[in-house]
Amino acid sequence: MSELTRTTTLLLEGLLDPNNREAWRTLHDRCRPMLMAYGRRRGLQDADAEDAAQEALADFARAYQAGQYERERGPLRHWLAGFAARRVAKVGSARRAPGLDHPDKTQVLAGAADTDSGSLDQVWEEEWERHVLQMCLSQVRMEADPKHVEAFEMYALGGCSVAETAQAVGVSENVVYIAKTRILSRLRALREELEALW
Amino acid sequence: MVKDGFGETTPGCLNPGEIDRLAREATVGGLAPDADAHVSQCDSCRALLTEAIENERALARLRDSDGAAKGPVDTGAVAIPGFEIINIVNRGGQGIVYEATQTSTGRRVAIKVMREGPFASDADRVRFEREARLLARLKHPNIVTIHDTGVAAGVHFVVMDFIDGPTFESHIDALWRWRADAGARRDPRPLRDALDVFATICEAVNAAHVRGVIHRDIKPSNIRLDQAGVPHVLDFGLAKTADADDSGISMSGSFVGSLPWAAPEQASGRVHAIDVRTDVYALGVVLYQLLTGEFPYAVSGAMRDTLDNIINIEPRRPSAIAGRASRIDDELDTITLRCLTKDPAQRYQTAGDLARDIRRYLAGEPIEAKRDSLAYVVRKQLRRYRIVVGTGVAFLLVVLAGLFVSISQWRQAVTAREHAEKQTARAQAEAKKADAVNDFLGQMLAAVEPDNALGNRDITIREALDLAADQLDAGQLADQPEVEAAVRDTLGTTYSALGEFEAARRHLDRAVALARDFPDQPRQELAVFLNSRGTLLQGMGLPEPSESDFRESLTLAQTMGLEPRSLALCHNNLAMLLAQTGRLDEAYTELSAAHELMQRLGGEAVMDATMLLGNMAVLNLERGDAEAALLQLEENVATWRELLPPNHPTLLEALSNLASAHRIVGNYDEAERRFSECMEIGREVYGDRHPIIGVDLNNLGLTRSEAGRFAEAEVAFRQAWDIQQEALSPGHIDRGKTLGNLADAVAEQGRLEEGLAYYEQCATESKDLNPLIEAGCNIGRAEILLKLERFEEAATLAEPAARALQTMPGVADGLKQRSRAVAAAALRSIGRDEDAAEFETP
Repeated sequence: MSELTRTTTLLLEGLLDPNNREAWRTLHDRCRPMLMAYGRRRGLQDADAEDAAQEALADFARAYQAGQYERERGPLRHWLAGFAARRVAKVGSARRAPGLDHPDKTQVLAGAADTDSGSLDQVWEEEWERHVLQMCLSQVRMEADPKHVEAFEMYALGGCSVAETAQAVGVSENVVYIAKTRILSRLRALREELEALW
Repeated sequence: MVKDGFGETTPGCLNPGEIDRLAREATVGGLAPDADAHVSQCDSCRALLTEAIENERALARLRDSDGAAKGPVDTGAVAIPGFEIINIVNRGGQGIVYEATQTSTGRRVAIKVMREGPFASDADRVRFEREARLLARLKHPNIVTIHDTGVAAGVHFVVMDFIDGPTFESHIDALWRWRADAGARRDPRPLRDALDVFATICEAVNAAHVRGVIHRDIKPSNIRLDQAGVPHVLDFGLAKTADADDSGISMSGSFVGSLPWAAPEQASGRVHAIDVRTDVYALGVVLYQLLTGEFPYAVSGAMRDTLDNIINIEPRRPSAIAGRASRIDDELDTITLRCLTKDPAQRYQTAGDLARDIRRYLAGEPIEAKRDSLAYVVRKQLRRYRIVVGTGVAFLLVVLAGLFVSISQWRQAVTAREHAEKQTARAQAEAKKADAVNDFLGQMLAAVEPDNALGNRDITIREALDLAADQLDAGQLADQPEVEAAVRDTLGTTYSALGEFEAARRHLDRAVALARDFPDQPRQELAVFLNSRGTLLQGMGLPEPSESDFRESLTLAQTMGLEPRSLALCHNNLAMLLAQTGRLDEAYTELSAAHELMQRLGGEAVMDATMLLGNMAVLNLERGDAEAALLQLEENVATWRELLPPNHPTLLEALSNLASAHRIVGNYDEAERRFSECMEIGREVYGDRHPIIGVDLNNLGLTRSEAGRFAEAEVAFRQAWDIQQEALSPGHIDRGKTLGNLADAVAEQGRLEEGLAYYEQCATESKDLNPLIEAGCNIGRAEILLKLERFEEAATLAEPAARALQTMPGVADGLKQRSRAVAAAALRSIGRDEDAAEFETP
């Protein structure tokens, strides 16, 4: 099991304990940016997106501790998405003057309505994907050979040439390719592990 | 053929560059993996290409998400004035760490922005601010320096050094990758270098401990090595500052991400048991990882299992895991396992002790942990031998305490001027000697096995000691005078602790005599033994020979150039003796010398220096220099407030002394305020009914009495008496003081008969137990009796009491004068003018 999976498992176990403030903080820190980005893309201002994110997490916390989550009904991230969509819809509608329709309203409400049936809106999935990949990348950065990480960042992410990368890092060109393959394969494996948990 | 990724290629198969190119083309152009002629024929290359294409797709998503993350940096919508945020370094449980540039200086810094929001309470913030202040003053080369702290738009941030280098975690990994090679394992240098770094980490942790900061989240990823390979401990104190809830640290709060390094007291939720030894345990886990590449027990399963393992599983010896070729020997095993003992009392008591043992190990000197473990085995044997456990164990603890003092003093006494070889030779000789001492004590304990020596009955401490003494007197160690002297020092100290002064003196006399004949004089052992004997003689009420021993010990320490700590100890011992004999000025000089030495030492010695400053202040009060005392006590309290948690007993004591000083100089309002603060903290620490609260109440009453507020004073005295009646036995000096003060306050309000009754009760209780209190009460009684015109009775009580008080040690001048005045008045009242005149002349 990877360190990431292990800490995530611990986190999910920790969330069952209402006194485990650290677990809740970790969840908050991990999910807040994603929830905020989701809210913003759903048309909320920053402050409103922040409110929606906080409230969605609080709703999630209460329901999770009350044992309302059932894995058979779908992955945890979909369940969290339901809370997010409901809060985004609620905050969005509360900020609008009564009687005025909002261009995004239909979409927001549709998103919220759809979550329970498992058909999630695209925005949520994209934000989730971003979030998970960044988490996995941080983990891989910690566990991989530092030279591999450096080569990967220059070549795969930074757009440098193989020759340039190999020279800068002090490895052969072959190693640059190996680094890219190993890091991306590991990243995908971690992503799958997290997907299974969430 | 390509095997194991790109490990090896054969002609015909694609090389890594080609696979990479094809994968990128396939992702962009939508080509199928088998579009290439060779790939369509080769399973292996097709599998690799398929994998590479999947990777390429993941990379595209990653670039996308990375691009989003690299947009405007999220500082929680807060800009930190004076800094330009460059990048996010880490997002953690407490907040986000950014790499930034200080715009004024161009300095690269790390800024930790504490997470704010619904989870942060006011208590969190207060604690954060307090610890940040402490940490900012915690200048240590191996602790990440805090440059600034502040609040920007409601968000707390800390500006600190940016350490550009790998974590200790990757250092350990690298060490293990390197050691996987059997040839490399034979080279001892990398392990020694890593241990050296580890010892430096322990010293840094210790430096924070002595300033009252516990890390609570030590793990390799919280330690970074800079470009020069120097370690820096991160997140000191802050780690749990923001995490702590109102009751301290949330039970499992520290677990997420750090569970593998949690100590049993954390794992079992005993939050109040968390102290510096909790950090020692975490350091032990790090050391275990360093030596074995593994955790001491399984930490990867369910949280509950991991908790169980931490609480219950005894780790295997690191050498058993790392293998014989690993160069991990018995001593490293001992050091590591001592850190990982479940019972904090059995661990190294400080991170400094751990650091010292690692350094000793690296220098080829004997380690301390070894002795303790040996003693522990002996103690276990004792239990098996059915010796009364309580008694037997207590004896052993006393013996060992003595042994440790001697050994540590020997070790402390190694001068800085000696050359390295000489040090090692000396250390080895000491080790040999210490082993011999342990052997002897071990044999002695084995000999008192009931079935062996004394039949089937319990052994008393005294019998075990006597047996050892008999063996020594029979010449068992006659051919090893250095060992015999060390054993006699231990026995002497033990007898002394048991109150067997004559026996103690016999052994200590012999130890001193033996040490005088050691070759290569002057010898530090002699200084140690003289100190032991001086302390004994002081306890026996023999100040003159005690002073002579302390002085000789001090002279030896000075001429041999002993390290400052030992020298300070000698000054302090002498000072205490001089103070006891009333030579307050001389005592003050010695105490000042000790204080100056400690203050110059800095680091760990700051606690000792503060303690000594407190003693100097109390001595100044006794010398009548209350103003100087007041200044010293103010400084003392301020320093303790920085070093200790707000409810620490030592801080409480310092506050109480400060309050008394204010009372003595007549700052009654300030004294009352301080005493009230003492009581408030005292109640929190000890509970409402603790005798210490009684003492504070008595002091408060006294302050009010001296201010002439007798009715209010009476209230405080009665509250004190209420506690003391329940908590202290009759005749206890604190009971006597309160009762006498209550009697006085009552009489001052005109209730003479009632006051008289209290004085009588006090005198009766104190008779034979506290002559000073008894005499003082009798003077009080006589004073009231004079007012009641019961002159005969007054004179009968006052005359002997006043006489006794003139010669009794430790009587304040005020009381002496008052007693003479009362006696004179009483004697005149019954016409004994001549006798009265005797008391009227000073």
